[in-house]
Amino acid sequence: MTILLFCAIAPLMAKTTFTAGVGAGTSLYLGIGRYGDSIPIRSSIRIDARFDFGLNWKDRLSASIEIPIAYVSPSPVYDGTIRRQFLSFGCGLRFLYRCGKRIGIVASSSIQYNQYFVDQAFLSFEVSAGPTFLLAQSERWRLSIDTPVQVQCRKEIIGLGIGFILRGVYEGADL
Amino acid sequence: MKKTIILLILPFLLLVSCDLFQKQTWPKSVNVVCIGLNYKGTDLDSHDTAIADGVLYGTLNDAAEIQEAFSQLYGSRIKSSSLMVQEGRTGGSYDTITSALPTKANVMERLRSLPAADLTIVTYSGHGNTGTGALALAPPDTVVDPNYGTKGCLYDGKTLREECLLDLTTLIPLLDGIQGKVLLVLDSCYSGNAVAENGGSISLVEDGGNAFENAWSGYWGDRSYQTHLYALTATTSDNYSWDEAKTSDHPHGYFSEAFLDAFGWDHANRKLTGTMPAERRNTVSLDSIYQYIMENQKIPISGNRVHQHPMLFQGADTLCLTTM
Repeated sequence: MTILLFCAIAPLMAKTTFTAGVGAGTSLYLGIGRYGDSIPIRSSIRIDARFDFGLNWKDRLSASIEIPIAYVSPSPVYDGTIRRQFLSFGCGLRFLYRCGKRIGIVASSSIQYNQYFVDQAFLSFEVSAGPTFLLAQSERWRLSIDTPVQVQCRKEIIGLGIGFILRGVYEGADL
Repeated sequence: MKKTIILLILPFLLLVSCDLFQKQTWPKSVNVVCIGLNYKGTDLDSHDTAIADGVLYGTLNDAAEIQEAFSQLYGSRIKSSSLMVQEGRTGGSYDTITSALPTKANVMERLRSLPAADLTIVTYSGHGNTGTGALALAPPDTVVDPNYGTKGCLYDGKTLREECLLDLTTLIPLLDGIQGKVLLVLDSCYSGNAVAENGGSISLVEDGGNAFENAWSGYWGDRSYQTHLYALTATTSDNYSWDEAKTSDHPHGYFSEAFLDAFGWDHANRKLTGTMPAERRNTVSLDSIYQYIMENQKIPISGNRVHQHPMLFQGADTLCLTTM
């Protein structure tokens, strides 16, 4: 559906370029129990890898389809329980708006299929938003750092991620 | 200025309310109840039974050694420790009926009378009833068999007696009534029935075929989430649990043997070696034990031939059994 939408809009856009990006990062993952846990927040480390491809319009706005992959570590023991570690695979949309030469705002949302390491799985939805800073660029490449706040909605837990993602983006020629 | 103070205080409040700053010793107190039945001296051990050979050879070792392993592991932190075994002899001699015999009434009474503790561990090695996984417990009385002397009867004609079956729908509310966290370990057929759907998680063992669809239903369904009763079972809700042949020098249930090995149990000397193979990051958790059993039990976890796949508590959390 999104691809069709892009195809429909693309001819209307002047100075539209194709982009493809890859990113990796880490964050502090704070799991807030929605079930009366004995501690309000349990902490883990989250490691992210992201792949995206989409369109960039007038070097200001870009929209992409994103594939987020993440690992969330187990939490320390508290009251005899440990939050389970899991792997996450998802699919979503990512939007970037460049406010200035070096700064922009990034927002994304995704649906994720997550798997614990004990033959169990669960579904989650995630939204994230925050500033992005351009670190370096060449004619075709940009290196930036995103510092979004990630909110992962699980059935029993709200996961809050605070960290960074380092991204390399390739920008193609005008369509 | 106010905004700066708020911005500084907010991360501080977040951090102090999370587990990084709340180290604890766990568990401080433990109850252990280990139940094992070999069914010798009952009607499962005679020529005229509906089950050809219902005697189990590893269950008594399972119960006695798991109790001993936990006694050594927790030491003075044990508040109550019970070993309830039925160990009649082949050829007609059923057990003496005492309060230690694992009859349905005795087991229920023992579970009701447990003191409050951080962690209560209940293990069972014996038969599970077809389909439901109900525990097949010791008959509370005896009959005189002209060929075999006194024996305990689990069967009333061709059905199991109500007095000998502890259904999971009775057992689980009983365990829910125990203060502190509860771990139920079942080495019996159909024991996967004790692992309930919990929160948004789904099992990939029994429902693996439609994982995404089931996860979607799990997310939007109205399942509640509990972190009081944790279950680890030998097999799925529709499969058998096996024990080693009677010819073995030191028989165990395959699952229970791997469970004990996960704690570093030395079978020959009946003691913990001090090295726990299931330890991960200085912690032995239910997940690390499950993973150890999956990798080390001496019977396949899947396939067309005889196999059994352990099942584990569902949800976002796992239980810590000990920290190093």
